[in-house]
Amino acid sequence: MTTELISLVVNGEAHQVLVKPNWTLLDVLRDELNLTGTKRGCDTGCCGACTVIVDGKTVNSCLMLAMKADGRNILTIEGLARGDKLHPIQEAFIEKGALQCGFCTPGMVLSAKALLDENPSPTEEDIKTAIAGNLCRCTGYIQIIEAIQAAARNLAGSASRR
Amino acid sequence: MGGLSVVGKGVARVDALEKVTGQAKYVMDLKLPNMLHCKVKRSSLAHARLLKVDTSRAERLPGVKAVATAADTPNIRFGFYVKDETMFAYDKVRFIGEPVAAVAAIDEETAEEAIELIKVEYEELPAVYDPLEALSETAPLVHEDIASYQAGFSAVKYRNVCSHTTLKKGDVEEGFRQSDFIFEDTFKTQVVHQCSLETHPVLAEIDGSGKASLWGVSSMMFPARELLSQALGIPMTKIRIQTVHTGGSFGGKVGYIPLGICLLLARKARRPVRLVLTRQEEFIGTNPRHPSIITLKTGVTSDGRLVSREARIVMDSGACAVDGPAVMTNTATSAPGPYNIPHVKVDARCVYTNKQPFGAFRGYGHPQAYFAVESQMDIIADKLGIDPVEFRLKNCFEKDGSELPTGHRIYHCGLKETLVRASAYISSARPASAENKRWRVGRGVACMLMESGLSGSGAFVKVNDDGTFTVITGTVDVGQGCSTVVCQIAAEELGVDLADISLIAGDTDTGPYDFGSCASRVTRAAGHAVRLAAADVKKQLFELACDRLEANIEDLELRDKKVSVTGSPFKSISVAELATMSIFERSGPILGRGAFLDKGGVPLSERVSGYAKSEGPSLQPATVIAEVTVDTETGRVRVLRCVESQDVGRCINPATMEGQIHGGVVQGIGYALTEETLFENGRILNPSFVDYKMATALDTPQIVPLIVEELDPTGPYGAKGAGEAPIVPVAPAIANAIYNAVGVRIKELPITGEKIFMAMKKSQGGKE
Amino acid sequence: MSLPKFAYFVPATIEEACRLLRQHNGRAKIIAGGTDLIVSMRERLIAAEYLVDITRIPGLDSIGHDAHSGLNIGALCTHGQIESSRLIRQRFAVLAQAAHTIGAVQVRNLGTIGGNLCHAAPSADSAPALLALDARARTFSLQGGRILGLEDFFTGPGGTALKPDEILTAIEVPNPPAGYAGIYLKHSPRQAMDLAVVGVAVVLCLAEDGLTCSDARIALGAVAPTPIRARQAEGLLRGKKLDDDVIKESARAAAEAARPISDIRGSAEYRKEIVAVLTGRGIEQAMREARQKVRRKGKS
Repeated sequence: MTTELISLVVNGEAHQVLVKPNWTLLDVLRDELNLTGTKRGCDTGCCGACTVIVDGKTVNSCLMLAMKADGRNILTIEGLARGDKLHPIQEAFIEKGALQCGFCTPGMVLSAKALLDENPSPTEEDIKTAIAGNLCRCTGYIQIIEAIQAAARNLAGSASRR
Repeated sequence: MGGLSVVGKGVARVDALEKVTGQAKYVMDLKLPNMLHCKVKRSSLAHARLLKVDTSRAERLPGVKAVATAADTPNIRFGFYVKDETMFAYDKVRFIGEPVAAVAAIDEETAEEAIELIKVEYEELPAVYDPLEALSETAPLVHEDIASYQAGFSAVKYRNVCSHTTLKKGDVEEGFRQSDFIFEDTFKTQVVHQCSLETHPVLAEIDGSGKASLWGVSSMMFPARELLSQALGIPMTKIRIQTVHTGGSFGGKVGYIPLGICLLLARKARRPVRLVLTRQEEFIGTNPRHPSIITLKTGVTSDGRLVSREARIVMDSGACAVDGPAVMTNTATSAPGPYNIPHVKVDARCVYTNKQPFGAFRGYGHPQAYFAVESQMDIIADKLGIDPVEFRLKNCFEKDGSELPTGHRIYHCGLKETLVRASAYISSARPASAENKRWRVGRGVACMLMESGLSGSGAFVKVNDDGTFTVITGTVDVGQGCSTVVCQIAAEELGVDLADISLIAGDTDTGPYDFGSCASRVTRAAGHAVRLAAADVKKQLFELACDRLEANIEDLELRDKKVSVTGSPFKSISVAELATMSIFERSGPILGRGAFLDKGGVPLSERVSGYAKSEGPSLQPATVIAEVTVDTETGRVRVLRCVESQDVGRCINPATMEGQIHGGVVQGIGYALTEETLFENGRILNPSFVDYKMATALDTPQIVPLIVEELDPTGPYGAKGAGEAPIVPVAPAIANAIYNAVGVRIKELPITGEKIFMAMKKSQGGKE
Repeated sequence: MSLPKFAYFVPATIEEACRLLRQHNGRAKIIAGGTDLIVSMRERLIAAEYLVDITRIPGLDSIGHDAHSGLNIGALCTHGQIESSRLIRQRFAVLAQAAHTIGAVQVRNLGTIGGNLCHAAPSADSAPALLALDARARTFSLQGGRILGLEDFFTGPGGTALKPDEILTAIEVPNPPAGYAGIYLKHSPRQAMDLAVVGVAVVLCLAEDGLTCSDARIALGAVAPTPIRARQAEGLLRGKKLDDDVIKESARAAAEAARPISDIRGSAEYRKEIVAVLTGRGIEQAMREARQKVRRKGKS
């Protein structure tokens, strides 16, 4: 199998990576770029642990071939905080105890980010719909939903102060 | 207990920052130089004699660095309760998915290719999948040599029965004669999988001295080290198990076989080896919850007093015993429920079949028992026309002094309080939804009592030069939050902020023995050990300080990294100064030591036989009231609200406790309604998240956690164990709510829409 | 488990894509969103030595509409695009509803309507909605394109009428009559991330009296080797005043049209019953909505 050179921007940084056609974006992020915050939970697009944001939209990176990421802009959990300054969603997850084992957390936070970017004042149903593709076996989702609600309020507050 | 400053507060988890930023490392995130990748060759047959395992072609494949089979092991049978397991199959394969060989190669693709090149010759044998069939005299034997297997308890075992447990109190026949009504119902529960989002990973490296370093996800590191040592004939000094972050366990992350396989391959290849199970392997090759068949015969007086209970239990153990005997002991002791029943007889058998070995899953035998017990309680209450809550309150154990059927007396039991709290909440709450012709709304209650705590834990506390503290324990945080809880306990005892405590955990070499994250034991045992170690440090600091402060030890207090004289805050000396003083002028560094055995009771020998465990030292009582709506035309159920009240003793951290309840409720909803591993001739039909249906956020109801704190003086600050209880009463409460809504009683889990639909159709047909 | 090895082509034009398919006749597969294909390849259910990625071909991912020819959906439109398209939500709501029930957000952001149809799972959620809208499939091949009625497009589980070098390029949906209403109802154990045990789409129109059905189309998913129309059930509605008996009769006829199998997701018997229930509900809901439209029109 031949390898191909792809270019992609991950968390604002441009990368060129030699990939095999049968690698997924998840393989590239974890194994080539060592961005292990993106998790492998099922490899069949059913659990959401591998969720990343590609050109503004969440996708299961286990379902996306690396070749398809050529020329795309990707945000992973590692790119969300600005230095030591956490994103308000991350702050809210800590504040509300919205995590236990933490394995679903990166994907969950990114699903929340994509939701709030598109819909700054979601209803509870909107939030549940947005994270329905992110399975969590520990928390029962309640504190996650509360955290996303809190983050939406905080983001709205900081936007109106501006 | 007034004046607690860290314990009892819903402080943020100590691991939260690294988890929300993606920096938290799990074993599958670890890489070592020259690391190889492991894949396991698994049996494709449920029962067969293993004639030949030919690995020669796999060994010749470029990139393959080592292949291991049973020939590389001493073939010593091992196991927690019955020693019937091996690393690799060697005489027979006993289930589809049993490891036959394993390969270490330069990448996963090569390892997968090599696995396909291993040729296994089998002689297929008749298999047995149904535990009732397995009980027959003529059934194929899963383990022919069962009589010779060693057991870690006084096991009664024969043919396909790996453990036969009985309990007898009073005279059930006499009890039935005294009863006005007798009810007999059979309940069935299904196989459900722990489904931790992280699959089992292992990384193994052998150093120059031959010592194995294993990074795994074992929630029971020390027992796993013991089993590995037994199975491979390696002294414990040559095995070090470390855990990093663990992506969930719920009882499923025992992982000693993957640890052993990687160890063998790393030794053979002389390179580090990593194994990460695929989701499919996780489903077929690990140890999910035992399915059960439970028949309850219950005698009751017309005024609602339980008089007599006979229970017959058959548990499907799968191909090995693993946790079966102990799980079944719990099911057996729970068959009478938390009720005062004068006459009790329980007969329980754990039976081998040619399916994957079943194991530990949150609740450990109680979810099965309580589905039966609490479903039948409502059947009886309905027939007698008694309110279900009243019926339970009338029969259930008192706070202090009630006797378990095994003869042990219990104290500080908040069970009644949980029933009262949950029903008070719901009776003042508006119904979760209005009813109409299509959607029927129902409420159902279930309560339960299980034990918590087990075995020993140790801890050390070090005083750092700047007056902060380092806690060293052997405990493992599998995600439930025990790292935060033990740090809170240390901070409370040492009078500092959580930020002044650093924790070293999850390493069999640095930490003292700890039985593990199981049996709802960590807060109690590890928490207690940490508290004792902190108290030891405090005592040493006071001894050093009393001369300098010219005060009596009993007048000293430790707060904000200073020892001061109570009432004279300016008379103080910093911990940093004391630490330095100790190192250079007195007795060397200050080291605190704590050890605790959470000792349970012993059942009365004349009442029990074949018991695999003792009575738990503490309790975890809980009540759930579920509200559901049932689509009368399709049978589809939506859970609208679950109120769960649980007696946790001292609640060390309300935020993490509520998280345990939320998570337990949602797992319980899956157990009740949608989750099931389906088998056909020993093969799993749905080994993926496509058809194994865990609840999503959209399936989650409103959840109301109500925390009852009936303090238990044997736990740290009065704490009880609390992690497992939340799941247990959920399924029966939902079953009872469904009956309340549409009048059909489903006695087999999961209660799918189809089962309800067919039952409704049948009952309507009957009326017409 | 790793994905099997394959060679990967990214053609820039549809002609190039067709040439690649012809060149690797039978051994090449088209990949669009990949949500079905990648999983099937990982589980070794589908084998392909060559993948032809058509997502870089321009012009296949837009949604267009005109008063004459109706709705045109490029085969590469994602479910997310469809569920959020204002045009589709307002004028072809049944399709937006169906798209919304697929998987979850992440899958809807990757998966395409063309892929959903070409994978040809009997449970594909887009299919009943499109069948009920009388949609057509537009294809391209080097011999020239075709327009196929969607019913003729599906040939069996996983099978379509596409020739090896033919590519689905667009879905065309004729303009439905004014005042029509459409509903997609899906029965599955979970609220998301689930496959249909039964899917039913109902599209209907009422006459000016607001009671008589002037036209109706009913399509069923997951209850036959392909998604199907329930023509007899439709016929029982046309020209009739929609009272409870008529609806019940039509729902029964839909159940009779279903030829489901029993599998781990549900028995054949249960599926048939659910077809009747969902069809009845679909008719009732569509009728209420259509009636409102008739009334609004009467007032204006």
